[in-house]
Amino acid sequence: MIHITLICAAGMSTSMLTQRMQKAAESKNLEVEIIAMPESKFRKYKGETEVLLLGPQVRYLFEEIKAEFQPKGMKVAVIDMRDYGMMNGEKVLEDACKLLG
Amino acid sequence: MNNLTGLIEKYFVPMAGKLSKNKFLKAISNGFSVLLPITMIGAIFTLLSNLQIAPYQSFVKAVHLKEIFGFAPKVTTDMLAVYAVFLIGKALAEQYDFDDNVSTIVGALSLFSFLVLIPLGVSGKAEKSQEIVSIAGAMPTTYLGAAGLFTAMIVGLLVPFIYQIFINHNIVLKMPEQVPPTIAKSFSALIPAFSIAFFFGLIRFLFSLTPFGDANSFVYTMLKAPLANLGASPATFILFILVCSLMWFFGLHGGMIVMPFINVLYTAAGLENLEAYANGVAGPNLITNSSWIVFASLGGAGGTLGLCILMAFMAKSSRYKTLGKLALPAGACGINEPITFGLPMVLNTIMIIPLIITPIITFLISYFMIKIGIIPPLNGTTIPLGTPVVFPDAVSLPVYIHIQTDTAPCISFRIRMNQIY
Repeated sequence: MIHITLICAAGMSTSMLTQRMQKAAESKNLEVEIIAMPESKFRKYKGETEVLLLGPQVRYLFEEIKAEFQPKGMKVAVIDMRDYGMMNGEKVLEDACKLLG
Repeated sequence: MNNLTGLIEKYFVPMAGKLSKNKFLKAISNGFSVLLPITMIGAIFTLLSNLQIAPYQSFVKAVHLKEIFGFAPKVTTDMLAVYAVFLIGKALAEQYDFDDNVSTIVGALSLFSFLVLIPLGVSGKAEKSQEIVSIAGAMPTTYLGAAGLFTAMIVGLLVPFIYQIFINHNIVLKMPEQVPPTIAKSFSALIPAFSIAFFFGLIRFLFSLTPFGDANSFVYTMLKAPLANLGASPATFILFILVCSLMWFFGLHGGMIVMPFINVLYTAAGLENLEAYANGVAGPNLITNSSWIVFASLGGAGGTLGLCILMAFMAKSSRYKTLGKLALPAGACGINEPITFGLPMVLNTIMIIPLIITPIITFLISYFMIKIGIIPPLNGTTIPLGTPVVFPDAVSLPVYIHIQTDTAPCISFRIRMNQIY
């Protein structure tokens, strides 16, 4: 089971993307759990996360979040703008899986 | 273009990052966002009690619902500063990474400090005679609502700040090691708490020596009035729109960065309008905190609802058509990341012009329609982000006329017509 967490400012637009990623995962029979939340909530979030993806609109947080969470074993990345805009769940999921190698 | 992007990524992005990570601004944002249920109770109950439909009015009066609806605004809208000071204080304490219970203590201390600044004693005319009566123990409610909101914000930021100094410099009561840590912890709040209490007591005393009489009157005259004037000018609001749109042009969440400033400048204006609405008169403020979502952000930052409709039904390119259909439902709720990143609007030099001018134009049209009296001022209901586009208009304006809902998308539509085909 792979846990992917998406964060943005209010967790609204990322929640649209999670649905599409989840669908893409189902069609590929991948076992993933994808959730979205505002950036401020994530620090107190106790659940598991292997891949942490930032919406492009909060990419200014990338360095800080990477420094904080990479040492805890998470892969941190910013979602590609075009894929985010087109809500390309399949591509974002693919990229996330690539991060895990 | 690549040079420009490089420069932006190097200087602008970190600056926006700093601004959005500022603890004080975050505390204001977070404080106001948890305040929402309280402001909504006040707003919805005011609406339910004052909806001007004759049969409805006689019904709510007959079954005493009016009394039930009518009381809630008196302890929510009219006392919002009390809730705000607690929640902002707690929110800033959370930013300093205090434990949950410590944050709650700091919130309570903020409330205490705010109340200390209000002088007791009320005087007024007796009901029947012309005699002036004074009641020494009563607390005046003047500064518990909109008028005290600035003091509430200042106190709510100051108390956690002072508290944090004590904790970070380890100026706390130290217990012998034999004392269990949990007990020692509860005592550690004592020194900062007493110091804060003394400090605000002193401030109360010092203000009583000045011609202002109390801290709230001072803040009101020196800060609230000038800031309200600043906020009342459409130019200020346009500046916020401009900053927000520019941020989005660079692909950064402009709303998140501008919102704390909107809250600080316009929440009191919204409350004043709501109070006026409850009393059955037109609101005094032409611009309130909800003007942002209702007038300047139709379909999200940049007012892209018109663009969504245009793309979904009229675009020639199939990519734009698909994108428009994809973005339309979210756009109707004021969320437009699909458009911003999918079109994209980001770093798109053709789209920057409509991105900036559309919300300014929709805002200005509404502003002047209110000014000349075609539509009434917003009644002060706080509109949460993500509310579908027709709904804010329905609750924010008395139900009758609503030209704005119809015109704004059309205008934003017209502006885009020349851009996309």
